[in-house]
Amino acid sequence: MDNQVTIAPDLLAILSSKVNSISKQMSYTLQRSARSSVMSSARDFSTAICDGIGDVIALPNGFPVHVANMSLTAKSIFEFHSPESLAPGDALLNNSPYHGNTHMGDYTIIVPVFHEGELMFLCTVRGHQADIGNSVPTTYHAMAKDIYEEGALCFPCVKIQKNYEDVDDIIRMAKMRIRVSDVWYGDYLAMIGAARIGERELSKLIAKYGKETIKAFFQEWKEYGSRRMIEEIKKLPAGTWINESKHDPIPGLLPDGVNVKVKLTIDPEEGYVEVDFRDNADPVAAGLNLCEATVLSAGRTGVLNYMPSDLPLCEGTFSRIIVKMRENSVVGKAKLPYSSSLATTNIHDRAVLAVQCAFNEVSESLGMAEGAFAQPPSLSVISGFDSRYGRPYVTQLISGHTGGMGVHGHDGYIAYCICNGGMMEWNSLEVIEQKYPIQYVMQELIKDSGGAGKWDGAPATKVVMVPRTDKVTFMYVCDGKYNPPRGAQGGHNGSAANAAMYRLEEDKTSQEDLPMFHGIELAPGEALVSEISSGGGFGNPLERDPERVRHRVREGWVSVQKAREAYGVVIDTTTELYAVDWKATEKLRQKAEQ
Amino acid sequence: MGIRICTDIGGTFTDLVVVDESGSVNIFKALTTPENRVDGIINGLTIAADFYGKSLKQLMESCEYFGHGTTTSTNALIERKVAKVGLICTTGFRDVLLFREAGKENPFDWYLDYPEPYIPRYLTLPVTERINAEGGIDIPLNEDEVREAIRKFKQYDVEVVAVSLMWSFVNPAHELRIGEIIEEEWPGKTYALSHVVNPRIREYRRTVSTVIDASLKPLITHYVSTFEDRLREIGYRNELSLLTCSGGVTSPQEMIASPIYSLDSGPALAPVSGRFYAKKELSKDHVITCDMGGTSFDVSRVTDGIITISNDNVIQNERLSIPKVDVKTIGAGGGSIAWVDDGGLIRVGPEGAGSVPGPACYMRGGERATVTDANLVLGYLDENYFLGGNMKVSKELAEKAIMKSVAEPLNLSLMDAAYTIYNTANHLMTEAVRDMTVFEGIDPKEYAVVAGGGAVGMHIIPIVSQLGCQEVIVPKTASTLSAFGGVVADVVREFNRSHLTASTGFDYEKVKSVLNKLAADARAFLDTVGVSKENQVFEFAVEARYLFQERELTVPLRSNAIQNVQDLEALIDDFHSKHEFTLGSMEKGQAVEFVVWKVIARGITPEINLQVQSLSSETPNRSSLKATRKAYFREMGGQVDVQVYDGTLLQAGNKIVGPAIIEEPTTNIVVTPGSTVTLSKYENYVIDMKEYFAPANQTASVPVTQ
Repeated sequence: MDNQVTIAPDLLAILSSKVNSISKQMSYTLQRSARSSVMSSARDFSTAICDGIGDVIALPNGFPVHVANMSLTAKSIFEFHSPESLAPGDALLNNSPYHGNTHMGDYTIIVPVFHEGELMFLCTVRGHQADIGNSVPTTYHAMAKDIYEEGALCFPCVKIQKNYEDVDDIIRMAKMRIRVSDVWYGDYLAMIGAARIGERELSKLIAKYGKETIKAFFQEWKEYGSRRMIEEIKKLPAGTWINESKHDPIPGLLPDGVNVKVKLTIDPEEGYVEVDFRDNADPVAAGLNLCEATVLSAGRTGVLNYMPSDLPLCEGTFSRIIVKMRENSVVGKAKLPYSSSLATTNIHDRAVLAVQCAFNEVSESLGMAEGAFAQPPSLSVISGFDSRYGRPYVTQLISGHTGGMGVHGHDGYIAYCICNGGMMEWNSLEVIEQKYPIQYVMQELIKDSGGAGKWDGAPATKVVMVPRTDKVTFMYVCDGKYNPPRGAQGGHNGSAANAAMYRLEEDKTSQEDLPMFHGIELAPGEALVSEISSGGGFGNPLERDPERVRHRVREGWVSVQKAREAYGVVIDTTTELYAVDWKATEKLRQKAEQ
Repeated sequence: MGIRICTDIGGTFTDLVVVDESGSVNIFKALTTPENRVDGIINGLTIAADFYGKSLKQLMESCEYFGHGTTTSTNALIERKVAKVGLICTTGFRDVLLFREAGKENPFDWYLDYPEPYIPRYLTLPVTERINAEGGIDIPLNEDEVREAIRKFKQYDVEVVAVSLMWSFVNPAHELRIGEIIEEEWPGKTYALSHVVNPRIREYRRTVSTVIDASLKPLITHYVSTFEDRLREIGYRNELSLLTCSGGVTSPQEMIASPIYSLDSGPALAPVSGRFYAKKELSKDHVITCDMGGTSFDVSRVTDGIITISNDNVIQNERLSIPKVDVKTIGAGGGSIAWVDDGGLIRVGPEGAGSVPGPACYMRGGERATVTDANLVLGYLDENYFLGGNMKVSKELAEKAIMKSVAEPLNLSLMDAAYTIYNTANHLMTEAVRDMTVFEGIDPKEYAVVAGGGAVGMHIIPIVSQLGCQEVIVPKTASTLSAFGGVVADVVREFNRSHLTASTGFDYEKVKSVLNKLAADARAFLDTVGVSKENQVFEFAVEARYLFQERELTVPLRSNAIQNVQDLEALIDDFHSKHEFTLGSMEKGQAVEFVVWKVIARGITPEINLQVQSLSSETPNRSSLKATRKAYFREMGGQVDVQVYDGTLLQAGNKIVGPAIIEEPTTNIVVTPGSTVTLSKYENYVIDMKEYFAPANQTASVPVTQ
């Protein structure tokens, strides 16, 4: 049926900002009411508003890996629940990588919003639960050879609320199988609360503007996104580019690592970018396989990292990026029994970087190196019993994740993380020490770690943590030790990641390296050392502005020696702010270039 | 009652509000003198003295209260013209000011610079020590390192030393000892300790508050003492009151001790005005205050007569946790530029035209359309009576700009394009109000609105019609809400302290001692600034959360102590209710943690009796009628002839029914159909929207955009 309603230009602006504001309100509510530090403090969640068929309309400030695929997750509910079978008061839970969700740690709550019996919106809230009942206490089970070893409870579009009330049988099952289920349930309630607030506000919006106007708006808004994206793609040259990025080997599991390959095609005439991941290996018997949602988000994120930052994040915009993948591949659609426990981080990081760096050959005025990889021990999932309060706990720590890549025109961003676009907030260390029985010994930048370039990669960060009164289990899955982030256009590579431990009383002489994919129980006095990789540099370091080098040396990020050797800059350290020895620098740079 | 005066220094004008002995309110404006801002104030005072037929000395001698809001510290922070600070921190945590709390606005934007830390790293010196989460000393303080750090600071000629150690707010022993060592090693050196400035958990927020406070100390000390001297010279005899970001005033000594509270004090006083007017005119305690400037729109909230304060505020990239009036600001105002993007969407702001070139109609070379241009084209502003006829503008240039930058790209007529700009701007401002209310679970319908800023009268009615607010006040002092707020402000300061205890195993003894200490501090503060006992008021509250939660909600205590199980149960109930109300869920039976205890000290100002005008008839005097003019009202089908009133000739009691336009020298009120404006006995415009929302008038409540 043709839609009779037309949308005036001011109404388009007004409705888009209203829907966006409602989605923001959902985020705001969730962050303030969530329980686990991973959801509340690190804000490992995203909200989106989809229209009645599941197309994304508004996506404010979400993690790319969560939201560039929200439509897929939302639409999956229709495989089991027709729109006619849904009713006001329903809420669906989807955490299944086999049904359009990301990894099982991410719970997606989908609330249908009706008006006069018609399904108008799907309010979606995705949040990372601290525990999901895996066979080991982490939501990232690298060693899981299949979904059975992984052990999480899977909810493929399960109706978890009817008539605004929990389906108690399901909650009870889950509470039996999930660690510290009070916190799990609190986080679940916070997500439901946020979705219900979205439902309430969207209902008011429809009542005020009318169903037909809202539907006409959906159409217009998608077309607007599409037009904006086409305009951007038209500015790029036509062609096809190939790139790859290689995940570290994991001894005993993936001795050769995993090479992620991508073929990027730009078609400015038709206004499409195609990201083709089909030339990748078969699934692996480990938790590292991507799934449909995360392959999609990797492809889209890699492209969007290149685009202007004010594009509307809606289905229209996304629809101009075609992501191709195989049915059954490590970078493809997940299939039983293979596990996608790490589908949002490790291989996903590599896939994003493979795409974004493929663009380096496309344009001279833009370009990026590779940035640091997830997830160093400072992002461990910790668990155990806190005798100070007499309570068990499980949560993911979030801090010390630096290492943004050097990009054309800017040094690497400090607070970097690929899968969340740097949006993840770090824990306050004092808050963590208050809530969990660990203490931080340090959290500081590592000198000379950033990949040198005309634009430097951001330095790595060293974090040292120690259990206080009780034993603590740490589990982490860290890439970037053997294949650290690569520099681009003459920029140097970033530094390598590392994990280690030592005994506080024996000092650092007792330090020994630990495996990079590991779970370990440490006792009070045993310190865990986390060193993430650093960002790769962009452009030739010999072309870096010597004043920038001086500043970094004075600030202790770069040594006098590295200034000479990597940048050809000679620093005089006798004055308070140090000074560039311009003559010596010129000489040194001339020599270096020969 | 003696004369009360308050000043607020803006970018262009220094505003002065005087309430004289009879309770009559007058506004005076002088040009701001950036080199020495006091000069601008004295110029303004001279103008005021002339007006009252007094000498400057006579005026000042009869002044019983002088309030002053300074933008000195805000400007210094923006321009980074602050004192050189050296920071002593705990070993291992030298990058707290660099990392901040991470996070980023836009997930796909990587072509940007990461902000530098507030204190350079070479002036951030670690000392070995460690206190744990319960306040125990795990590693004793290495005093040699402290002395070495101070020697280095001497060598670098640091002006103020800041100290911020891990967990110092639980056990301040090491910070206090470092303070002693500074006094030994560098007698007379100014220093700031984090547990004094901001005794709250979260190392970054506490540290950044401390270093910002330290960096403002020399500046504020100098500014305040010079200012006091000048006031004495011109004859002022009483205590100077300084406006704070907590929406109150404080004494010069207190401001010098905690200069961080001088930041952003201007916007913080607008809701004080709002609260005053809503109470006076409508006897309402729920107020939304909107203040519209050239390119910004500020919104703040008063609930039950209490101004909403937040401990989570961002100033210049830094996240502070001092108690500050919660003001939501968006980039939309009269000078905001309207444009159409590549996809054909109308956008307004955040870019503004400034005063040069300014809106296209200013004839200063601006070619891009602004909201002011749209108002002129729509007939809301009069080309020949702009700023009371004191400024020449060109409607033709406004039309040209709108045609080129909006009408042509969107294929609209001139009028439709101008209205599209106007309507889009109105909705941006509406969303800002929504953020301050609906986000917090509050229904704006229950609130009165007080609107300030010269251009606000043209926008406020469409804004409130979207929100459902029934009553709006555009006060006589609309052009300077902040300065008026400073005349009627209470003395206010919040005292708080982190002390963690849970509903299970509640620590009655410790909580009692924390609250007693806070109350004693609060009382001592009010005594120091000279508030008499009968005017001292104390409010008690606690920030609480569910177990493991990270963000707290502030819950007022029903009395000044938690003495028994009944008190505790009541507090827990209040927490559950507030959680459900603002966050959409609650968990009865779940343990509640109490984190930060606070006492708000308030010194009540004497009742301000405004002059009352006798009421004339509802029908305005003929002399107030100006010629009718064509103005655009979408709900009436386009341009219609509307009656224009000269606001200066209206009398108290006059009632204007929309559609109409009221012109004042510094503001215009566009009265839309369905709304009624009355000039009150205090000479404020009170807008009544009840008719607009009446069931019989449903057609009018359909959004005008359809």
